Amino acid sequence: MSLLVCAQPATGDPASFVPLSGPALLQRLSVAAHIGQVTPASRLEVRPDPELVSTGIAQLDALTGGLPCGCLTEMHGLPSSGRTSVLLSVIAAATHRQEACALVDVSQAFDPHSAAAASVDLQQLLWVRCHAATPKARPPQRLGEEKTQNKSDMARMAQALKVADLLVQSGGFGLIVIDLSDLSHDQARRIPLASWFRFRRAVENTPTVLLVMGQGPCARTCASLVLRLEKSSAVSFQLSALSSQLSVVNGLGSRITVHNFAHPSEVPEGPAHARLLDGISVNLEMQRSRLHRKPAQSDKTGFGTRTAWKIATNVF
Amino acid sequence: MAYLSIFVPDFPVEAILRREAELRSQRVVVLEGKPPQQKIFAVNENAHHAGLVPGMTRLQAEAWPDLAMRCRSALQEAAAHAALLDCAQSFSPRVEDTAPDTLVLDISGTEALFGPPAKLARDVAQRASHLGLEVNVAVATNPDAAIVAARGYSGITVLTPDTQQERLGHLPVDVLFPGNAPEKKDEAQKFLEKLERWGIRTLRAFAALPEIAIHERLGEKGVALQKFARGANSRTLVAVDPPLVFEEAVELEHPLVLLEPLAFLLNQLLEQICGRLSARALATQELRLRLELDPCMRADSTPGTVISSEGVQPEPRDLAFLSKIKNSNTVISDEAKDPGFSNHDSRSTRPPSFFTRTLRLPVPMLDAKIFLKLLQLDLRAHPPGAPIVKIWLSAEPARLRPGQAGLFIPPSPEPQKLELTMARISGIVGEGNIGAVELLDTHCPDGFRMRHFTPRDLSPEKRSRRSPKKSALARPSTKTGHAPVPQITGEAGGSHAPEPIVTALRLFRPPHPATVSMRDGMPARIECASEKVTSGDISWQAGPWRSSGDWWEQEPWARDEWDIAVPNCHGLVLYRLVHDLLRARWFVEGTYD
Repeated sequence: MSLLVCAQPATGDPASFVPLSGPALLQRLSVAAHIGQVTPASRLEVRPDPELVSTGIAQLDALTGGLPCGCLTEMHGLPSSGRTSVLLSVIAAATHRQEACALVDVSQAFDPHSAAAASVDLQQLLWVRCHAATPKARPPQRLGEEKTQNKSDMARMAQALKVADLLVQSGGFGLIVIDLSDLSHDQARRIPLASWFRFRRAVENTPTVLLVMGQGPCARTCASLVLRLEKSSAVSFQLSALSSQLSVVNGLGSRITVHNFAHPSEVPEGPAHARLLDGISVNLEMQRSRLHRKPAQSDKTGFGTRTAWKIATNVF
Repeated sequence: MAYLSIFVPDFPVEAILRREAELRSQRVVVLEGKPPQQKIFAVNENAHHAGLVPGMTRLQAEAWPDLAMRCRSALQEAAAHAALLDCAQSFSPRVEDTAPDTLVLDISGTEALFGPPAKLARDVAQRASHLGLEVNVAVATNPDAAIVAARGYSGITVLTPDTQQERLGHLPVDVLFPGNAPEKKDEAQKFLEKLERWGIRTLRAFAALPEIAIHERLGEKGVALQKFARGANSRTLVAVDPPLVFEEAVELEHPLVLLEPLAFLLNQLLEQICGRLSARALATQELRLRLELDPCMRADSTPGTVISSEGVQPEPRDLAFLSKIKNSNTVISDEAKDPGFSNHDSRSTRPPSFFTRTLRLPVPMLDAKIFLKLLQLDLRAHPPGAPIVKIWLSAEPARLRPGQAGLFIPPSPEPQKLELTMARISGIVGEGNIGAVELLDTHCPDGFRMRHFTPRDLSPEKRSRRSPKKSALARPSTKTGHAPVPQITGEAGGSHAPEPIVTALRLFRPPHPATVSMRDGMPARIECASEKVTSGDISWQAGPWRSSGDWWEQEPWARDEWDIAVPNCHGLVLYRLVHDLLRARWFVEGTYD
């Protein structure tokens, strides 16, 4: 309390600045008319912890407790790191809760068949495909192509921000996803911080989860939860697809064999048509969370994804 | 028995003033006939006080300063009459459509619902005023007495059985012959001349004449009119059941080329339609806008020329609208390129063209502002392509949606707000790029279509009807794993068994062309111009999985799919590689992520 020396009225006399503490300071504060509206920190309203909703991934829920409602969550990783798989799982969990979801797709990369396989209720999902005018003439030089592509990407990113703004202001959505995954990290970093602040303020005190996907963190301090995904060095491939099908037909009931290999060079030789991509292993790291100042447990976890045909074969 | 009559004085003028309310304080005359032989058909009270009477020519009327002259509009009169019927139907189911400007309601038994007759009459006048019509309302014990009182007394009149005959007696005999029907004018004129010669000027004097003498001199018609004047005529009300048609129309004197004045007119029409729907306790789920376009629009007319006649500086979006008009490749524009046509002749000979837009809403709504914004956004995306000369706007009536919120219902966007938001987003990303996905029953890659996004109605009763069972994923028919759409079930917030996480495919739209080197019949190296695809040696591949279809259609497809892994500086990237067998080209369709 003795820090509040400057709370005394400025009389112009330096000698009057005497450190005060305790009741004397509060009395002086109440007397001073122009600072009488100052609320002591002890009386400030404590911001309640946000409600957390499930992501549909047990390991992720165990690590983070879920995605915070009314907050901005960021999830980033490089291509093939499992971002979209996690995203579909989050959307599926939200649609299971009968919430309306919106996906702002900057690069039109959403695959409805993958979503259906991930049990996403497509009726509850509003898909917005950002659309930029196709460049009329394709310049022959590689450099020209890149410039045109960059312009197109920036136009689509600007569209995505406008659309996200409208959706956030509209309210009523349980989950709003801005998918910037196909934009480079440099491009995504060009989004002004003011936009992220606006989004964060708009969803505050609402039940909406605002999720941003990208190749790197771009919302900076506006994100309440930042998750980084990276693929594990092990990629699982399935070798015995044909033999398993034959086994099923013959009624032998043998299980499908799944092998994990650290590198494809270790895969045993075999015909290409006898192989199947089984899934990818994902490592997930919680980089920042407003709820966990110091994580009590490990801030890393891992899980694996399964391709749709693999899951279907198991069910069958 | 009690009857209430609604009478609209100077009905043709009121029909005009319903759209142009700012003219109410001015002198207004309505003209009829073809130029230059136009004559005054009806005048408002201000014009009447200034000495203007029906029958005067336009030339004579132009001598009066500050006079607003409008052409008679059958469309607007029909809309005004429909609005009047809606107003009456909102108070009583038994309504007689006596004349375009006169209605009679049977209000027996409505006292418990609407209060005493005086209050009911006030409410009727107020509701008619909300619909843009200033009316006289009278209550009497029989329909004809109510009609005569409404025609004779302005404002609200309530006649009791005791005072009915006396009060009707003060009225002039002119009230027996209302309306402007030309076929009845001569007959009424002769009748009134006879009464004038006899010195009969009021209904009381006419009612006091002996009935036999009236019969001898004026015949059966005279006797009926005398009963009418006494207020003693007794007849059965002929009730009508008008169809639920909610249509408003505007006929423009000058073609409209700008979006802003069009929005102004649409706002008026929407407010009138919403007022009528509200009077019937209805909403609408479908709005139809029909515009008659000017067939004389020249393709080479400059926007400045068109705008200068309006005296308004164009805004950029209006200029865009005009440029679209100018560049439109419709039939109208093609016809307008004919160098030999003149504006006047072509207008009379060329058939009018129409532009129609239909706005379908997921739930019944009744908000003129939202409708206007939706129409504005729609017209901005789909401009009519030519100046507008007539506007029709109709609404398909629907029952208002009963809404019951619940504490435990998950958040869902408000339908009105959602529609507006989606329309705005559609203006940004383009139509067809927003909505919900519907998978098609096909093995064709990207076999889906976009449809309107309508989240499920989560009212408690509907939720309880859902089956709690959970469907499993069916075996995919092809390697692509296009499983059928699972039926998402279960209670909101309920727990469900953890499902395996599906490896998702991120598609490149359009797919990136690639050059693939083969070794032993398998892709060994990939080169792709796109920076989003890593070029290099393929570390691992699986496939091919061959599929084909639509060979019976115009665009058959046949392809081999490969799953490949290509190393880059961060590790492996998994792609789906497609070989188009019909075109012999390779594409990178997407990446597993």
